[in-house]
Amino acid sequence: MFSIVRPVLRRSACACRLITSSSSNNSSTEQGSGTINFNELFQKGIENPIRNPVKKGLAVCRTNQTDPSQHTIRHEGLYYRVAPEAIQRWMKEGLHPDIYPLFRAFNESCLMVRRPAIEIMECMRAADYSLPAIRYMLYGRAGSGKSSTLAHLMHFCGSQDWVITHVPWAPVLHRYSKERVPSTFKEGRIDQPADAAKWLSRLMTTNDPLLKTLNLKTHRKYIWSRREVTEEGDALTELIDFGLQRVKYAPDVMGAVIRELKLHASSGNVKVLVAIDGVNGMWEQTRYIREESRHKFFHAQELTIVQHLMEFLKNDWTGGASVCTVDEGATIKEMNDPLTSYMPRFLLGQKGFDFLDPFIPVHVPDYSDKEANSCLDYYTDRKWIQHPAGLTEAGRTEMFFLSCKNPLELYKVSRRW
Amino acid sequence: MRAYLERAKAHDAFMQGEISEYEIGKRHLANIMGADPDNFSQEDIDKAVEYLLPSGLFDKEARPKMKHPHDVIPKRKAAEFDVDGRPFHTYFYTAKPQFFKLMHDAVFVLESLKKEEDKMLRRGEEANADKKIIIGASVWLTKPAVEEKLQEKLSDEEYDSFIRLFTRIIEHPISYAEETFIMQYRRVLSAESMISSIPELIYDEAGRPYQEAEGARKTSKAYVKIWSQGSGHVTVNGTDLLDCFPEILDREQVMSPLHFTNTLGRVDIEARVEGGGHSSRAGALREEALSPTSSEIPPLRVSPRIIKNNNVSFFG
Repeated sequence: MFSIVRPVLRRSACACRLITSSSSNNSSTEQGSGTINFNELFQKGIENPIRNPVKKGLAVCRTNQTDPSQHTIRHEGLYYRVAPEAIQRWMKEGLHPDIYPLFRAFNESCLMVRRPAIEIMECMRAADYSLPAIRYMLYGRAGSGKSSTLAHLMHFCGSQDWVITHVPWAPVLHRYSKERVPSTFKEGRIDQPADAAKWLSRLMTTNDPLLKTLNLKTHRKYIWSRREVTEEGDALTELIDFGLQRVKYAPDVMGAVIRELKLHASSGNVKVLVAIDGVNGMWEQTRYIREESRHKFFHAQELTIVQHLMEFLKNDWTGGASVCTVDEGATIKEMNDPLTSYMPRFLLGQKGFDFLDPFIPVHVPDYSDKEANSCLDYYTDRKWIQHPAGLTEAGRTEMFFLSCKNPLELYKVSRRW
Repeated sequence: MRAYLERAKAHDAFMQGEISEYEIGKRHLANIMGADPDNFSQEDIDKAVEYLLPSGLFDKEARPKMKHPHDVIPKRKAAEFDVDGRPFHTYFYTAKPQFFKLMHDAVFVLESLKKEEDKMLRRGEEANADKKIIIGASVWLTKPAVEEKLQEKLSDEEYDSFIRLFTRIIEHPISYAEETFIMQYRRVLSAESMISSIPELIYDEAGRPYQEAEGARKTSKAYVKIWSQGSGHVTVNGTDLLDCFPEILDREQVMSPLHFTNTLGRVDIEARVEGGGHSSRAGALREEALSPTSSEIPPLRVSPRIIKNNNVSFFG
């Protein structure tokens, strides 16, 4: 009797597990005290999930439309397949670290088409690119899919030949940077040559064939040292290569590249997407200690890279858009003082909000019923959910209850089935 | 037998002495307290002792007392044989007459049940399923309880054979015919659910029924409203379950009663929890989220997890 029932109730219904153990201990002395007749239970109308499995083969959880530029609200809740090249170009970093092993396990990489992404796509399609660049702000609680939405939007813009500048996780700049030197160009700010070079190399790999075919030229002469000069009319890729070769100048090259991209976008040569994950980290205190006192820290606003990125976030240019996310994880938490909100105004603070205002806030909610079912259909299809109980309606209800349909939590819960 | 009679005589004499001492003591005490010695009751004695010998000892058994010897000195079995030396009980020489008489009777009961069943089969009747004894609703008396009932010490083997025989009787299709005999040796488990009253259904303006409950675990307190005809929506302190309980273990705690009662996804829960840590909050919710739903589910009381955890703080 229990062999049928135990797997169904195995994890959550600890009560049942205890019953089985106690009944085996007391079976000789207390007949019927610790046992439950499950057959009776089921006869009383309690569902036996084993007997009511989710119908297989009927669920549609995928779309064949792999081109994100064609995605509309019709595809909401469906998974689309992202080509490995696209993963390499636009999504190599920035998604939740657990998703990459998952891609390998599934032998394919799929993203779900979700409403926030569709909404921003509709806005981008309808936008007038002769007007200042629109800033979109994705916000939502931890694990709700902000970074995945950002990745989908990058794929959307990338497939339409936009130049994409991506910062996978802004707080990295002010937490884990190993090399920091005072700027030679402007007093009072901190250069992070290695991070700037990384940003440049990411710009190259993300937009490699595109930048070469566009053949963008520089708008002015840049003098780096007595011997090293970038002339007016040189290729933008040469400027980037110079930054990669002479890492010392990488932060300043980054500023120059951003300036050039803004000018090119404004003159209509190219469209530029600025994607920054965890943008609220740019208005935080860094973890870098000042020389004069052990108790004083640099502010992120003093970092050269942050200042350059803020130039990009200004809406004094046209022909592009910026999509940012605000994330609870990007804000430094005080001990025993958990963050109480994930709203942009709370996370950005007064200064950050004033700088980015006006922007279009887009809420990334947890899964809807349709999306959550689609997600589990996909997991079932990929044989990620192995346990027979996980294939039943009762199992799904349990997973939804435990995860509150939060995408990350749903994945964590589904790992156990 | 002679030795027994001597012992009994000595015991009676001892008791007589004790009782007379008690009576004299009682009169002395009444005089000390300035009361009437003839109408000095046991209650008056207790009050007087408490007044004269105040004690701060926690255990009431350890405080000074003055009781009637019959209440204090352990009883001895009355003589089991008459003046001729003939035992009263047929099974006296088995050394455990009450136990073996019970076993003997039980076998007769079982045999009579078998005969009755044969008769019914011959008549073409079937056992009445409605009258069947619900085994899950009660348990066999424990060994000390049986010993207390029979006034005899039993060995483990004897107790096992008792359980085996009575299990055969209760599992008989028409065991309900001998229910009164069987139930003398079983403890009914429904006491808990009979005592704890199931809250009444309340209806809101829209006519939607809900129940209210409150409870505690350790230092946490939970106040719960359960709405029927729901969709599994849970609100705890104004936030959803994930915000309130980031640990999955706590969410499982809240889920387990709903899962067990098969109300998962069918009721809405609105809860307020305060005090304590996250696991005790979840524990408080688990018990209280369950209790209003218990009206629908008969076999709840047999789950050890679902029986109320009385581990409530002394200060809480």
